[in-house]
Amino acid sequence: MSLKKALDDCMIDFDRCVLVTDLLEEYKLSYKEVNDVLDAYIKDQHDIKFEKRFLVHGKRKKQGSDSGDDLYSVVVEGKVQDWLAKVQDAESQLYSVKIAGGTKVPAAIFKPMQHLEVKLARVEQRPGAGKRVPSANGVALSNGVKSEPIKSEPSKSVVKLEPSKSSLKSETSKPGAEKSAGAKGKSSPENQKTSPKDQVSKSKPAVVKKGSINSFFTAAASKPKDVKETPSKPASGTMDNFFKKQPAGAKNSSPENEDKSKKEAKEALEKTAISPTKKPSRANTSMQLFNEESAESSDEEEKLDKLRRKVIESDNESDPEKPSSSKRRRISDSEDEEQPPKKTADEEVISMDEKMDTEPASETYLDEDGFVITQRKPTKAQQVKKMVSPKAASPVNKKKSPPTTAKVGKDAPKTKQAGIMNFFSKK
Amino acid sequence: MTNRLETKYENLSSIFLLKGHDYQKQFCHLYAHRLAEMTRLLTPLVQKKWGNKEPIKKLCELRGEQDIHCILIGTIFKHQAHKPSILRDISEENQLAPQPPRQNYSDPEDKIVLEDELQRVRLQGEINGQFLATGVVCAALGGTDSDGFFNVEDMLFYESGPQKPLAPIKTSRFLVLASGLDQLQAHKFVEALNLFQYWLAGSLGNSKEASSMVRLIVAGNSVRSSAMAHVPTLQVARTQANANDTVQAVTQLDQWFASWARCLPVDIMAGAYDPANFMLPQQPFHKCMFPQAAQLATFQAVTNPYSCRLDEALVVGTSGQNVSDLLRSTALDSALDALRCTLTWGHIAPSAPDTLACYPYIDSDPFILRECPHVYYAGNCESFATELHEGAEGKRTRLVCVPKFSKTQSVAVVDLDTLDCRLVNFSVNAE
Repeated sequence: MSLKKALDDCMIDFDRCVLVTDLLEEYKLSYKEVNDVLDAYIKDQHDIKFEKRFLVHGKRKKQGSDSGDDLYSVVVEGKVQDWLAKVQDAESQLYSVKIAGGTKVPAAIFKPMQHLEVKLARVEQRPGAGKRVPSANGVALSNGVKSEPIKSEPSKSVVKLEPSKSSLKSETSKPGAEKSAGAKGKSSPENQKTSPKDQVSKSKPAVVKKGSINSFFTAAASKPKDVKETPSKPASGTMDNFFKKQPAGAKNSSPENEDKSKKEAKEALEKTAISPTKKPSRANTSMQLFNEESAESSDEEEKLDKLRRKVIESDNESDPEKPSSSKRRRISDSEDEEQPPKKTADEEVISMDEKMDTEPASETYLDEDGFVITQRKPTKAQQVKKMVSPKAASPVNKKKSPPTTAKVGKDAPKTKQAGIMNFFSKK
Repeated sequence: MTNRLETKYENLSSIFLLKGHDYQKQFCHLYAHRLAEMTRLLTPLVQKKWGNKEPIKKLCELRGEQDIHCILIGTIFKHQAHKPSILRDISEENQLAPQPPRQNYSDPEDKIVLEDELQRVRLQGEINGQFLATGVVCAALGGTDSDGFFNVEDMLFYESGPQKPLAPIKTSRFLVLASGLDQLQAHKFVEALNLFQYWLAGSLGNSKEASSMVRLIVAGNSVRSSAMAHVPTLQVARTQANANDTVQAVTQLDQWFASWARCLPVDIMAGAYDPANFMLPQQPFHKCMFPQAAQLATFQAVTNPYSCRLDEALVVGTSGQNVSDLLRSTALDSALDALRCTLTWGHIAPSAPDTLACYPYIDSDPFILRECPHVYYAGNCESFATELHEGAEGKRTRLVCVPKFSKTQSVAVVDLDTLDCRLVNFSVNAE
């Protein structure tokens, strides 16, 4: 439909501000053509009053310069004549039209232009741009993972590129391999499928790592074979391992708790074997990260964990009467046993305080010329060195300690009592 | 419909692309390389200007002797009492309330020191210290005195090296320079932006002129042209809102750029406030930021500083950080003066890394102007200013201070044949 026809058919709503640039986009016309047609139409509409804005183009001469500035200015109808007089070589064209006193003007929304008067001879697409752009997400693209390479040859890079997925899949597949055939039967067929990634993680790393650290542990551990087959472990397993890695003292060493934790771990393992599909929803991101890290050296860790478990179990079995070390107990114990380490701590604090005292050893000031000058006093530093060895410290040095201990009392109220006790005991 | 003129284009900004990201290095390497390189470049000029009568000496060769007449080549260090110093801030924070940052910390009492590889000497005499900046490498002719000063009689700067002459081509080719599109505030000048794009496309009755526009360079601050406002309360919510605004602005810019790149080649530089790296040289925006525009070969994100050759014309420019930093640290009045000074000194950003953040290069100084450009511009200036700088041996360089579009709704157009430059303004005059 031509612009003229659209105007005649009242297809254009002048209640809102109609821009010439919008019309030239829509009807693929030049600015001049739109201007002429629109101007003619407005002149025909005698009974309607329009609010018009004009685009004034001209040159604004500057004093002392040969070439003036080019000016494209949008002005209201009433000021067009002023502007035409103001600029040189001025010409004006319609810019926007709307019915006077019409509806409130909405905020102008401008679209990027499509209609070009001057074109490039050829607009080239960047090589490879067509492939990238359709998927705006970019995640898959950045990974560079496509179905073809995965299917064709399961290489190491595939595992590296999709670590989270592979780890999740291996999580689900591991219990199936580790557990009994009954558990295998229960697991869903989806999980039974061994993807190329799984194959890679199952076969390749195991073969590669056999000769390295694994071989060392195989000599020590007696049942590592079924572990080897599992490339990675479930999240619960890793968390369990994480807790196992903690020092034995930090853990609840009571046999009841042990049993409980064992039971829970077993249940968790069974759950993963029975309903592996639930796993991804439960596992949070940090767990996944943990798994990703552990996936590479899973075999070695498995074995190490086995060993650790054995060691822990043997420890517990050896002294089953060992009292449960609850937090309270430990705190009370520590209070009783505070004395010997306290001493060293005190000494440290003293030396630190002395260091603090000697800290303003260097002086910084501005000289007459305004240069920043820093002066150091090396004598005090030597003193500090002497102070650090408290055993060798002379009694003169020790006399310095009372004010420092007072400071300590302020800073560390916990050690106050011990510090004072020390002080008097020494006296 | 007419076809746009085409030019030979060569991107010369590869020196500004960072190969590694090692920020652990000291900046002394950069100064050392700058001095070594510029000494090598300055030596023949020195001999040409002052002859072989005066020897070029190192400071250590003077040995504190008096009345030695010689030439020294070294780096200017400007000792400024008001220069912001984090050390002073820390030392004074216990006694005094923090002082407001100065807009300009140049002072007539500033001391000019010339440093070479080993030593330094105070300069006095025929030297206008207020218009010098730290990091400028120069040759000084003069003599020592009993007070330990070096009395300067004459100074020589590199003046950006040789320049290839422009071959006369009859047809006009225009380079369009814009900056500070500030998409976050675009609602305030969107009609001007609309006019600008149709002007680029030749739709405003300017098709003849538009067909000669061979390239558009957007010199920084396309997303934002001022520092982000930090609201103390509701910090998290505000930060989130700012992030969303920025994403929206980049998306809109992508649409604009995609549309413009269909009608002419467009180069986008990062600016001081754009979501890009802060240190100079700023690296090109990642193409993922502009997924639509990046599909077109005519669109490219480039480094800041940016250097390219259009036919024979060498075009070099920045997004304006170098100029604004010089205006802070010197007594230079205008951005144009600062731009001219950098051209004379032969260094795009002499105040980097002293007061202008810059990557700690250890094996080169990419900001040295080894070849004199034909067009040399700085973006994001407060107002448009231009001058045809004529250097030694008939070198002609068009200096252009490209105004912020968000503030002036103007762009600069440079004729690559005659090196004429003019402003094109798109304004909307309400009632």
